[in-house]
Amino acid sequence: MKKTRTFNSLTFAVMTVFSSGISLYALAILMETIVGWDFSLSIWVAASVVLIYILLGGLTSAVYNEVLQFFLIVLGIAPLVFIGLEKAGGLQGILHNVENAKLHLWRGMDHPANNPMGVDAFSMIFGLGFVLAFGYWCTDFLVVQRGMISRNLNEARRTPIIAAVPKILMPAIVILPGIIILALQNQFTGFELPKNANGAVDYNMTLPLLLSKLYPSGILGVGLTALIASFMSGMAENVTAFNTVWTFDIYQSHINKNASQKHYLYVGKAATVVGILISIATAYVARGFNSIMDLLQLVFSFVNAPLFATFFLGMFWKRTTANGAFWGLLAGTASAAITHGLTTAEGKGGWLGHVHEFYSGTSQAFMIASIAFVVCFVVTLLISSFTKRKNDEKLAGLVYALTPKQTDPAKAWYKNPLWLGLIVLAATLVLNIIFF
Amino acid sequence: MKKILDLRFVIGCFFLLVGLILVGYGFLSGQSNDLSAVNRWCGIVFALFGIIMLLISGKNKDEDEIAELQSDFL
Repeated sequence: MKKTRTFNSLTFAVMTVFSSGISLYALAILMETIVGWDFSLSIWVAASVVLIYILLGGLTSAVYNEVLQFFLIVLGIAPLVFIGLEKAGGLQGILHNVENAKLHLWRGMDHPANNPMGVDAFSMIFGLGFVLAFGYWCTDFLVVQRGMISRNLNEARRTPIIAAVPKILMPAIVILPGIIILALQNQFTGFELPKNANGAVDYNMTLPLLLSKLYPSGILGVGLTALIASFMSGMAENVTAFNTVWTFDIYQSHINKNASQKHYLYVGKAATVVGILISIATAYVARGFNSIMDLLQLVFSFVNAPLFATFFLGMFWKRTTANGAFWGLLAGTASAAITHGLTTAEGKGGWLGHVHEFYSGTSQAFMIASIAFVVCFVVTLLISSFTKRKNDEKLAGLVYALTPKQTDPAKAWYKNPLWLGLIVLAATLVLNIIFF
Repeated sequence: MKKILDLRFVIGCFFLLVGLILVGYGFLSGQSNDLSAVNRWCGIVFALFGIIMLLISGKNKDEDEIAELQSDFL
């Protein structure tokens, strides 16, 4: 069990610094475009600010800032959607000026060539809907960590469900601006997206461009602050997760087991500095991707996808063994790397050979996630079948079927995770039907 | 100090302040009507949101104090 945890800690640590670097990169191009700051200067200034508030306040300050930043992001960007919609001619203007395929979730999913994301139904449903989505909500330490600092089991269960509500509404300020800019490009000049260093259209510039074109001075400052806040919040949450995983799962478990709490506190602070420095390096890697979302999905498909298979079997199949979990996770992660090495999409990947070319980086990431999950699942099943498992007593509290069920003390329906979960599911279903 | 750590209070103060600045700027900046209207309306919404957060913070502070007294008594 310990080797699985260590391996997962290492891959997760890599994922957090990559995710943090992506936020830092996004922040730097925003400052470069709108304020005119140098890219490298923006990176160092932003990294220093995040470093200071994490060093001073730790996880509490990161979570505290996240809440404040959330409201700032929503209220700072929401007016942009209203102004953009009005300029684009409202809903009718959008319908007339944007290609029909870009206004639907599921149409054209029969073949990657028939939809603008370049994905097929299988990779969308299995790769994103099952593997990556469940991997994010159930195994991603950033989500789990927030639940772990809640006051009781009921609150911990409600944490991801309540977090799902703003996530459902987020497309209104994240995806809608992308559709609005397409409508504006058809009606006005000056809304063309710039090209990045590779000569490809830089979709990352959508929000900064809309901000600079549609917001007057005054609210423009608030909009910019909102974007800066969102990137800083993304960076801070990843760096705090990195220092926790490094200090407790790697340093305390393998390097120095019996040191004082004060010592671990210093190690955590040193890990924060190192995490920020590595994030700065990965921000330059993100510069090569024309959509940072693709890079983020790729990182998740390497780490979260196989880990979800390990969690799934470990929680629901009592026959799972420590060796099965370790080799399964290792094989799943290796298969993700091999698939990326043998396939290409938008010029990325193919560093081992050329077996297949995907229509888009998104499609490649979803397929890598699917393969990594299946390989991890099958290898864990096979090895667990031939290795000695622990007895039931030792698995109580770890395997669902062997754990005593706790009764939920919440009587009010709005505090009951089951009802809240059903409401979130119903809302998701309704939105899928509306935007089918 | 306790007040500063209450997020509802901090968020309320922040948005009320930013809202008032935007409303003031909307009236005084000399921008065209459309542009200043954007600043004014955004400022009003921000200020209202800030006031709501401050009210919630005040209401919950009373409840927290009652709960604290009850726990001391018990």
